[in-house]
Amino acid sequence: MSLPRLRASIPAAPTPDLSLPDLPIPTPGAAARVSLTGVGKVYAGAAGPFAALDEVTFEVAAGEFVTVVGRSGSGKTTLLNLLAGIDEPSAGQISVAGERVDRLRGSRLAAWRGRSIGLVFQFFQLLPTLTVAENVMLPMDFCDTLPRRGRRPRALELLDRMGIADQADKLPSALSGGQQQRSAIARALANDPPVLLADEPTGNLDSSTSDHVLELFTGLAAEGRTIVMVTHDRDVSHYATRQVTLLDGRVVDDRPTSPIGGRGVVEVAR
Amino acid sequence: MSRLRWRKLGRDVLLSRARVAAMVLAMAVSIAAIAAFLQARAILGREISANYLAGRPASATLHLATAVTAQDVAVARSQPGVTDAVARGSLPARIRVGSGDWRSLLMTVSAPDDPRRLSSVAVEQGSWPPAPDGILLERKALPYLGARVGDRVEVRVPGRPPVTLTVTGSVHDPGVAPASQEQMVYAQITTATLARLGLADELSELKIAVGAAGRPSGDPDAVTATARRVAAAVSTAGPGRVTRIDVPPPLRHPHYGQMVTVGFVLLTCGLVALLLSSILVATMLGGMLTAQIRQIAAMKAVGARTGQLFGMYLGFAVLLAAIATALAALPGLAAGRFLARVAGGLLNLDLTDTSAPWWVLATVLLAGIGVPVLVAVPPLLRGSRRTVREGIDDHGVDPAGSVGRIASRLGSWLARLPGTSRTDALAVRNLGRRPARLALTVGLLAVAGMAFVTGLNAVGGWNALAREGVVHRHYDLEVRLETPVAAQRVLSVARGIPGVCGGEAWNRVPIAAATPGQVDVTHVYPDEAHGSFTLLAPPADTPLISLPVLSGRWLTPQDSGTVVLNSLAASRQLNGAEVGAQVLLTVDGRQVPFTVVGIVSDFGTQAAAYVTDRQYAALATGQGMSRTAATASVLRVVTDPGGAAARRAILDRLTDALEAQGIPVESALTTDDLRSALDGHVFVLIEALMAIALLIGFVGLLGLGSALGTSVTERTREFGVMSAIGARPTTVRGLVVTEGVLTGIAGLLIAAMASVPLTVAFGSFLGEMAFKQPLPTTIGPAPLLLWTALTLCGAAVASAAAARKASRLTVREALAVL
Repeated sequence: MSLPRLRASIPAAPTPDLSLPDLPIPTPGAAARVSLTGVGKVYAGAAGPFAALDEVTFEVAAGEFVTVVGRSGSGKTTLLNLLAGIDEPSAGQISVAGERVDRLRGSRLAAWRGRSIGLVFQFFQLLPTLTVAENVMLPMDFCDTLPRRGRRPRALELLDRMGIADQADKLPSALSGGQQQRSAIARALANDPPVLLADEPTGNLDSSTSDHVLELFTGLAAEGRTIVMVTHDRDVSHYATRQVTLLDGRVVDDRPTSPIGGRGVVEVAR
Repeated sequence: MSRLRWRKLGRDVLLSRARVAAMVLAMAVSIAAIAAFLQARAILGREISANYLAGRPASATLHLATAVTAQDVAVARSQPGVTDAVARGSLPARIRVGSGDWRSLLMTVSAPDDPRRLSSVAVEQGSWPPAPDGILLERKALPYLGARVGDRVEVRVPGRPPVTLTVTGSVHDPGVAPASQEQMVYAQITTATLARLGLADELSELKIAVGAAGRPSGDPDAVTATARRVAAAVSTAGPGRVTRIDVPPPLRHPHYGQMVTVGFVLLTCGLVALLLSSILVATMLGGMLTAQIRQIAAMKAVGARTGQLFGMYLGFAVLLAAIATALAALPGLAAGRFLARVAGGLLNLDLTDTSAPWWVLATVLLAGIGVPVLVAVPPLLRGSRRTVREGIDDHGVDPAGSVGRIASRLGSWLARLPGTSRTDALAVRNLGRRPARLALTVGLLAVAGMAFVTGLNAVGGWNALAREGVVHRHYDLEVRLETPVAAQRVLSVARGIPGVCGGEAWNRVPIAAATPGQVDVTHVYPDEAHGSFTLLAPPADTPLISLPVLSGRWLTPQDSGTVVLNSLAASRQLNGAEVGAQVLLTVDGRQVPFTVVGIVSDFGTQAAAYVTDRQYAALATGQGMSRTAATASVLRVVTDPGGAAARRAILDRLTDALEAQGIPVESALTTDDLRSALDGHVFVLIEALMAIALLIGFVGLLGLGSALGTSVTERTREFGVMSAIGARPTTVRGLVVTEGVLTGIAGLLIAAMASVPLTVAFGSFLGEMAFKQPLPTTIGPAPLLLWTALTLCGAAVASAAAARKASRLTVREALAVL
């Protein structure tokens, strides 16, 4: 995608204020970053232990949009699961949004996850019996981040930003794949997390819709959010500021994807 | 919990409304059953006591050898602990309406000016006292006799010609069972009527009330001690005036034991029903959570904590239980009132208050909401604790796969068998995918099956017991004589009656457990039947009875100083005496020691002790055992084959002939009457067990249907994949139905095996509780076959509904499920 097109994807109007002033969440910026140090993950398999990740070390600064690429089985999803606290590392340390994720357990992990990261899945994972707006309100409800009367307006605001406000009161099954994924992104942003983690978010979308979703990510990164996106599609890397390549559980390449670098993209976007 | 979460649950319910409705229905049925059983038990427990005590039953009855005088009554009233005393009499006779059958009659005789404070009855029609030629019948005797107030009836006192009296009214005597149940007509007359019957105008029973501050005593020892003091006080002229003291169990209706048993059965089965519905709730909620694993993962991914999800689903369980309880409470309580009325009618009770006591409402609420929710906690906790990872990785197979591996191997083995399809093998493998669910569903069916089969076996046991009361009696008619007469004379009269083909004349005398130096105390109720204790002296080799020996042995011709007891005598009269025990009995006014050599099952006879005719002759004459007794007081007769009417006709001819020969007849009955009486005693229990067995079976089958529905729902995606790769709807349907039927068979096998020891234990417990003897173990094929048919049909129908749903899913619908 060319830079003009990227620019065109950023809303021309002033960005709505999505911040939640009452929330004690890390402010997107210096504190909102991702850090992995010597991280390893070994699974016990039928054929013996299997190292999905081995000595992975890298950092992601605030405002970076990092794509993690690699072949199937290279450890991409494992990496994302470790960042989200879905899995525990076998070795190493993981910090996300100022918290040692590898030390969090139970309710603290759930609370941290709800407030500090937004998760976007390949298959959207919207709750089928809740409307789109209600799906977006759900994280606010679980984390009690806004007064009840403020939740729906915020959900509508986020859906409006995603361009699907008119779908707010429909059930997910009535939406197209792209609309569902944008709903899922709105849900991921519900609590204004500093970090977005996305697992193959375009894997289930056509190319046009994929482009739109990636443009949204680019815009969000431009606001200062940290985005880590796992994908098997190397072609999408030009939306990102940086690309980390995994092979057999190790980082084999880590480089900026924009001639002007990650921060440059943020600057351009802003 | 927030409205948003309630909204989600509400819509989830709408999506699976059929299953949730089934779950609520199952819970509601169980809770209604509990409410009904508790309510019935509470009402009956309260009313049986209230009815019985409303008649202010005498604590003790002293039988005097001479007429009770006004001074005797005054002396009794002056004794410490005695709150009231009155003179009464009881008169056995026979009664008939028009040319109908003669029926046994027991008349209570009172003075016309009797204050009727003690052992009173409520006059329902007519007035007290009846005219000298009048008789007041107990209300249940009217339909039994086919009589109405104003009818003329013939009353025949032993040794006297029949006298015509008028039924001037009816009374309710809560202290006696219905006439049809006991095959006995109870009635009230005054001493003025005695003259009409050709008897002396005197009363020989002194009834006393024992207690303090107007409250009757519930302590049998205190009553006995007081009654003995009264006996001593009225025997100043010398011992022997008081021949016997009856102390029935204080404050207890004669059918209290049956009531306790019915109550126990009702309560136990209500709890089983609740247990079943709770398992069902656990199964279904567990299934619902399993079906929502991915949703749980999604919610946790956006910040939901385990506690929040647990609270959400627990709230759901509470809501369902509350709805079920609300739906069930009123119908359940109404059913309880209905049950109480039916049982009350059978027990001759007036239910004055059918309101539910607070503890019934509290227990229904607690059981209806608390128990299902409590049982649902483990699966809810397990489901809520699932991690995001587990949700993402869920493939519909439990991780601990030992059961799954076994099922998989079984499936592979099955696939190699001729005549089985790949679908059958797949169905077997699928059963092992959710071992916990399988265990709960099979457990549910097994418990339901066990309760159903055991319940019906117990029904069979009651029937067998009632049948046993007759089949071990190889005679058709029994005539009790008022006084012993020459045995040969009685037999001679009997032989002369057309239709009589054999018989024996025995001695039958009332006895009591003796205490050296004391007046005998028995536990006989005023109906002269419940709690009575008699000695029967048949020939050792009598062909007329063959009672099943529970322990020890039956009589032998060589017996001397030995006795065989029936189980009621051993347990209720002789403090649980066993074979080998030494017992002291008062026989014909003398205290005689015996060694117990056998205990027999003798359902249909009150407490009885058996000795040989030679033993009795030796006792009666004080001579050796060289000859049989010359006299007899009971005649047992075998008739030519014929129907009940023929036997009744022969009995009437026989009693007429005996009376004509100057042999007074106290009572007479056919074995048909006995069978009716026995059936009447177990009818309530049989009806209760039948209703409960059906109810439990219904809940069990409902559970199977719900579990299968859950299983289909959680495998929606899988069915979509199967369809996508070419499976036809019939294949999917076949798979689900096979799984359902296999689950049914598994539950069936466990139920079949477990119901055998359970039937023995339950029958033994129930029989001991009600009649002090175990029920005959009746394990017939019918209950099991019926349950098998119900289970397999139920499984097929329930799984067919789920299968139809599965086979109708389009591939797109199936794969879109989260």
